Amino acid sequence: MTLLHLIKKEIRQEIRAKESIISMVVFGTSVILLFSFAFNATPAEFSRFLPGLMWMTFLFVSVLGLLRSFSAEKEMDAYAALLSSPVDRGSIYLGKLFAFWIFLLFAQLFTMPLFALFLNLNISAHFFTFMVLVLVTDWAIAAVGIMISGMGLRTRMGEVLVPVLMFPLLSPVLISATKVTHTIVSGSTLAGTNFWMMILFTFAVVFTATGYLTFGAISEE
Amino acid sequence: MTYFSKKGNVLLAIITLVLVLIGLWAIIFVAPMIPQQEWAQRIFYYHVPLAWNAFLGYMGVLVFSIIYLVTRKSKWDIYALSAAEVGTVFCLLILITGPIWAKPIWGKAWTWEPRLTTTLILFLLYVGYFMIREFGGPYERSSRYAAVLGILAAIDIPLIYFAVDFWAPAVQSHPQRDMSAHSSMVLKIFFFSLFTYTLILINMFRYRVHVGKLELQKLEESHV
Repeated sequence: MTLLHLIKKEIRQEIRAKESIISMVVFGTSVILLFSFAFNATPAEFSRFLPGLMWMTFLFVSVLGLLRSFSAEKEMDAYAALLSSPVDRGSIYLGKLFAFWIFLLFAQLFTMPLFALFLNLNISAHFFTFMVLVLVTDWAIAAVGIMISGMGLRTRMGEVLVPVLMFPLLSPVLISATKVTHTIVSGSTLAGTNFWMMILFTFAVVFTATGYLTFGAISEE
Repeated sequence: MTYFSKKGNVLLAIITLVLVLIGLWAIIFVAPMIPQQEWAQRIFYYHVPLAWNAFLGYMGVLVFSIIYLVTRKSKWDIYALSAAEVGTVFCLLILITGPIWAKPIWGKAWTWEPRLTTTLILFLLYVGYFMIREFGGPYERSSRYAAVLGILAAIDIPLIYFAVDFWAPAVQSHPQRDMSAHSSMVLKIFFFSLFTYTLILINMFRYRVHVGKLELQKLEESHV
């Protein structure tokens, strides 16, 4: 119940401020545009590195969103108020995680069609698998991202620390998501993707659990 | 009081130094040549113990970080930091010795071989770990952050390894697995080297802990 309240609070805050999602969508769009200029490749050439480019874009996009995710709390010390409320710290983590997951999905809802339009991303062969992939990968990114930004943004060099800490931690996620997307885009059989999906699921579950358990240590004053 | 005013520490350092010299002699003059690899193979007497030390260091970070988060005694934080620093030194040395071996054997210094790649990612992770120590704010807070990051990084290690391993299956794997097939002398010297390097690790770790405690003392004095 408290979790639901916390999620609602995050979402309401975002609907009022519209900071995260708008900056994520605009940034994502400009990166896609830059990609098509920078590489200027034929669709066949593109299909080779498109999966990697796509997930890199979403990693950058999520860093941008995460940098905003704790900014509202920084102002007027709202974070102290949140921490002093009778809610356990793990739930605050889950609330932020769930909300950011929604924001990231929402941002992708706008940018993913651009990948299809500009860069010929074709997922029609395995649409359902692709949806599952996006849901899990985004969850994994959010699970690590909320932890890291929870630490990073209360330090002096937050904007630098968040990507520096996040990218190496997320390297198994990037590798797995890219591999699966590659198979999906190429339209071949999905038999080889089970292993990657398993890594993604394990990552998401393990890091959510660790985040739930250790967020208390991060959010103390 | 300096680190070396304790007799035990001096003794440990001297024993380690003697063993290192004996090891060096054995690796150069006693160890048999392995066909096709010639001198390049001998770096494995160092390379593998280095990896072992980095692994011990990082496991230490995990264990000490958990204990620190539970007990909140700064002693464990110093242990975790010391283990991280020592582990990262060895991690860097793996990244240096790996390419030295790979250049003559594989013809190029860097391949995206799973273990080397995992080591590189780990190295970057722990660079971040030191950054959060440095920029994390007040001592107590940056210690907590670092402890959490130490746990996250340690959990990530197997996942990174599996992902990277399957990411580039075509790349040759390390050949030292069949090192023992050559001669029993190879194994003997190898384990001797492993033992020596573990002693080096213990020396470095103890010294770093000593320095860490002095730093904490100074910090506490400046607050009073």
